[in-house]
Amino acid sequence: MNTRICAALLVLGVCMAAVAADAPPATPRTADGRPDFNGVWDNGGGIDFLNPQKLPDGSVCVTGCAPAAAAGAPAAAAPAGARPPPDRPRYKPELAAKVADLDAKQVKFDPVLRCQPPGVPRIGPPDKIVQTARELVFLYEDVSGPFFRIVPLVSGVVRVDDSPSYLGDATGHWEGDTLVVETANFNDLTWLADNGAFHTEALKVTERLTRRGNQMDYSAVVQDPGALAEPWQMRPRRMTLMDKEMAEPAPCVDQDLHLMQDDSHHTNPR
Amino acid sequence: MNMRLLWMMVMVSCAAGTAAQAHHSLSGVFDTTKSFEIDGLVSRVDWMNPHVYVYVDGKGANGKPMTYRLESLPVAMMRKAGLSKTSLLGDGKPVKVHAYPARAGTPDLGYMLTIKFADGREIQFSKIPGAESVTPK
Repeated sequence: MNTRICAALLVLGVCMAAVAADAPPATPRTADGRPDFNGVWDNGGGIDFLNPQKLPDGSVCVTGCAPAAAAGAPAAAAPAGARPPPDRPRYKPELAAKVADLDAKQVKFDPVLRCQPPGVPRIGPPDKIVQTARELVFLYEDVSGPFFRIVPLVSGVVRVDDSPSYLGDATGHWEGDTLVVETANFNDLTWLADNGAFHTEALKVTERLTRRGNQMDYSAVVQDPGALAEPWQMRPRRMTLMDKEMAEPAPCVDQDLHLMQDDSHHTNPR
Repeated sequence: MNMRLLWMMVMVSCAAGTAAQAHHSLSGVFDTTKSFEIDGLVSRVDWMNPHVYVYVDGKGANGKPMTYRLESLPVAMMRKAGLSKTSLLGDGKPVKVHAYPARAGTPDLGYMLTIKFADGREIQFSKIPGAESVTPK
């Protein structure tokens, strides 16, 4: 074979190998051909700004660490990302004052501060998914405690209690490789997000989850004609498959709100 | 060079979780302009949200025994840093803690900024008031 042709084939082979190495892993599928959502997922939100460092002597820096090289620590991960700007729904004009009031008094009224269920989509993507052909179960480790949602994929499922609830009644269906979860029958005791983002019982949430390799794209669209001026799409998240099992979520027991001397609070990133 | 002293904590964090977050200000409960030191033994850790609590048996200002109740980060942040209830309990030997005092003047309540164990291991959760980033010597 001509030497030039051999060289060209060699270069081509190296290039193809490099492309293959960079390609994301294939999305695994279940026996019924659906994308396999089973597993524990880093849900891509909340405390992503944290970049803890461990030093060789076992010491730990939890937040805002000095550059690793200067500290003599092992090479650190990427610097902590800046907190994104707030992501908030737009309310009907006549309700703006109510949101502002709840925001100002959130230390008194935010249900999450009192370990109450966070609601949807405030709870974010699940931390673990268990999938069968008939349903998916979403498991959550939230600062408010452990929660679960059952997402039937078949019609005709009747729940033992049809009362409006904190996390609503979800149903799911597949649109190609995307799982679409539609949830309604919420009570009005949760917030959509931080800072006074209340909702009514007219709330409907549509979540979409699409697995690509070992990552999952998550989005949620909120409709609440009783409160919002327009549908609100929460900032999308990207979940990452983890190689560790979920630990038991810690219980939530508030012990310090009664000690607050004023209504001061943080501006929150989500 | 003491590597453990090279950290600068730029952010004071309060309640956070993997999903829903809500924050009241630390300064609503604690005086974040001051800190105090405690020498004692870790006697108990409440591994719970929205804040982990560490109890340290030490001495009060009058020299009498006092158990300090020290608020700290939420469980999710501890876990992300690789910390557990066991690692906070330590080995039963004396520890040194820096903490914010409570604004209400409750002498046995504080917010834990750092904890240093007898084996030299130190965990820094938040900035000590007035502390600056230490440059390597």
